[in-house]
Amino acid sequence: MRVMAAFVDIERWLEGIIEMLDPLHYMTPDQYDLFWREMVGLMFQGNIARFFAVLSLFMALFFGAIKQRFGIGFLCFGASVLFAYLRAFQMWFD
Amino acid sequence: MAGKASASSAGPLMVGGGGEASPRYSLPEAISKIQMFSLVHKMGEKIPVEFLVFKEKISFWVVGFKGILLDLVLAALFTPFSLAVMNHLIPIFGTHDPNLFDKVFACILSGAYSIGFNVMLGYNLGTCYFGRVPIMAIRTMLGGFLSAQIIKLIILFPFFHFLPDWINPHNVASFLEKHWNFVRPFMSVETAQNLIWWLGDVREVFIRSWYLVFGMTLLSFAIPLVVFFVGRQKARHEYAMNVRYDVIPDN
Repeated sequence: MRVMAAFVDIERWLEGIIEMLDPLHYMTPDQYDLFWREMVGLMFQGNIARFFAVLSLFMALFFGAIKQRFGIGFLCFGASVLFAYLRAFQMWFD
Repeated sequence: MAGKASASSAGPLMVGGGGEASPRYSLPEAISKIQMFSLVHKMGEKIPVEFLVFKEKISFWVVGFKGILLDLVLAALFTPFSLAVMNHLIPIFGTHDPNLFDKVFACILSGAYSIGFNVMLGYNLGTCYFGRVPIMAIRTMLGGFLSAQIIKLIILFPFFHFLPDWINPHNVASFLEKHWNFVRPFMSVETAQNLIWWLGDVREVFIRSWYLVFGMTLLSFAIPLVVFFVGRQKARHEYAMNVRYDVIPDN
């Protein structure tokens, strides 16, 4: 019986963790939407976006052209494009 | 790699690969091959020009050609973006009013692949531009690269010149009206109207985009030429020093 009770406790604990993973459990859908909009606005706008875009482009040239790691180079190039233009797409859909 | 003594006694030095049934090099393989040719030359061994047989030349040409094809897509996509940023039509870094840094960055981003490809060639093959066979291989590869660049410009010329006519407000409006059932989930009537007006403004950047692509292509092609010129001087100097101090025999 004790073993069964322990399993039930573990199951409840796991359910609790899974519930915690769902952000809609402790914030409204509007708050969740606002959170991601602010996050995109913070990361993909202004000087932070400029810094990460330049860093990504530099890394793309370094890894792609100098180190010949083309996969990482393309990924960094894509990241640079995202940092430059993702906010534009978000503004379009706003 | 054969040394000095073995090369003189064991006949002509073979780098390998020439006898393969159908050499199809990837870009790293082709660069490595040219580096091997160059190293053999720098060690004082002579590779006969005939060693670079026709199918190998074709392989080097194809490598150069294929390497730049992706640039066609990226230039077609990002060059109008960069000009639209300069004309305040597309926001960059979340602002419709870009400063000089933003404009320069948008411009560099549109030609980043082409510039990166040429920097990569220059970095890896800069000091390999020495000896008849490496020079021939590099020139063949650059020939494919130049051909792809010319084809890119030829394809983009009508694309950028006819696109403004295709996306005039009347055509876009009739297209959206015709496919409205499909488009409706993605945009409201107001967004569709904004899109029509926006595309009407964006039309003006396309013709200029071709000239920007043309300029970036010339700029990117200048990179390996400069690097090869400088690299060749270095390789000649290194070779002369090696001959003077008897590191390699003077052929």
